[in-house]
Amino acid sequence: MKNKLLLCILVLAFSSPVFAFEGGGLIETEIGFDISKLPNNSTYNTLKNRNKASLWLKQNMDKEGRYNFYAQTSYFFKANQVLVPKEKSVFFHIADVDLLKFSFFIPIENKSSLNIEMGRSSFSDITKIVSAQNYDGIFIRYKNPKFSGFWSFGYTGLLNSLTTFIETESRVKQNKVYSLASGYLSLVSFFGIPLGKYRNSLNIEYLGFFEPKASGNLKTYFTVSADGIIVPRLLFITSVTGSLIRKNEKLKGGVLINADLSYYFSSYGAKISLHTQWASGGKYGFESFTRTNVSRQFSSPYKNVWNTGAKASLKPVSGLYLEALTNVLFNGEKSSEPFYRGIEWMTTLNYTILNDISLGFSLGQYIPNSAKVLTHIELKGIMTF
Amino acid sequence: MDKKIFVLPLFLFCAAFLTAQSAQKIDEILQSPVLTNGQACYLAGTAAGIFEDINSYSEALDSFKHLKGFKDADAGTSVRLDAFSHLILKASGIKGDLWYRAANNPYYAFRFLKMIGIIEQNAVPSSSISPRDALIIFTKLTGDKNEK
Repeated sequence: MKNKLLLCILVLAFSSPVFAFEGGGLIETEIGFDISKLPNNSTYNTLKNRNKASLWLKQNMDKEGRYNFYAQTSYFFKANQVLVPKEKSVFFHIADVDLLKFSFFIPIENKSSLNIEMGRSSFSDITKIVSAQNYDGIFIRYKNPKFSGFWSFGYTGLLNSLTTFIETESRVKQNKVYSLASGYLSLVSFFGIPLGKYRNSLNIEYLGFFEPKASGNLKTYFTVSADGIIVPRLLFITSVTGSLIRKNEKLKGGVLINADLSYYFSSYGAKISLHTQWASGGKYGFESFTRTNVSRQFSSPYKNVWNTGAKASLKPVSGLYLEALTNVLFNGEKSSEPFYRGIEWMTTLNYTILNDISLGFSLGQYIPNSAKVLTHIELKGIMTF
Repeated sequence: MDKKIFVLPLFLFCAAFLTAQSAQKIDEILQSPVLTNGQACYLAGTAAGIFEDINSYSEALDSFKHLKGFKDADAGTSVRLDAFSHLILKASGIKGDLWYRAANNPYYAFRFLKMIGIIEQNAVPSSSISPRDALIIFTKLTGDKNEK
């Protein structure tokens, strides 16, 4: 029965000439230099080159464009080279299926809609810290003017662990093209309501991840968040997440607090924002499900960390984007030594030419409490077709 | 509500481009359930000031026969959304993105208009288009051009 249903969908999707096929792709290249000054005044310099080629297709299954099939596949070539002291280069070839899903959008009366997706799709939680990755499964979104909901049931065991970074105890680096990720069953439930004059939103979200084996790990997260407009142009996002993680038969609770206040200026697309994130440490340590980082420049998981910073961005002319940020990092638990971890700054310049080519340059430094200073330089080029 | 949404782009379109045109012709186009190749060329050509007072849709189509998507088109059949995208980019003199400039075809015209938000994300290139939606797209596009 399932096979017949699948066959019907495939025939419907690909056989009818009235339905349209769309396709395209993306080529991305990135070169990063990390220059580290070590406490003994020696230097440790690395060069990282990351290249990505993606192809995507979209096949609609109805004239209105409400029922669609999506697929996207990518190939990565990565090269890591330690320049000082000179070491042998390491190369990685990675293949991935980023997207493979059927999507059904069903408008319902009274401005309500239902969207059902089946297959591989990405999902980020409210905080974009706990989960920011792909899942294989079913994703259901319901929207109406009074509330919105999202429910998902998925599995992570078929994903590529070389592109999807699940926070696990053992992070074995395997030099393979495709390496299966840790198998977790995932369950997501989201409920949001609009509130007040500016239709701000109040949301609650539950995320559960279970390893389907005896004494398997269990990770559950419960988030309450509010976001919206305080006064015109001044926006806020705030959330509190409680986590309960059972790992190696030990149960541990944790807390993540996230807040962001942004002001949008009327000219040049200018924006200035203040943000803070606190992830508890020690006995009640927080741990995200996806390996997400505080900094874009260096490895900095949301574990026992308190980050506070400011960011400013500007679009002075069409296609040009400028950004500057600074973050001050402390340990999440005051008793952890040293409490002050360090400060980072970063500037970014992006220029988009004729909508299809984007060039980026970023320069930044992380000055930790110890004497070691990390300077990060990155050049990036993206072309879509 | 639908009528209210429709009146504004129609008003802008008419006020901007069609002062010399017969209201009867426009009314005739608006009565159609879908926009035909001939009607699309008539609206685009008139708005662009390429021709004036052409009374036949087939004459209007002849003016755009050199464009991909219109070479073998019939004036009475419905226009595809990608061909319409190509037509209005040419008529409005908008050069488009890198790939539209290189390929100069309906597919990349459609892709460009989708990318800049003129056409809805779930739109289908082979779909037909209503005269009302055609005017909304044209008004958005010319509005964007004037803003720049």
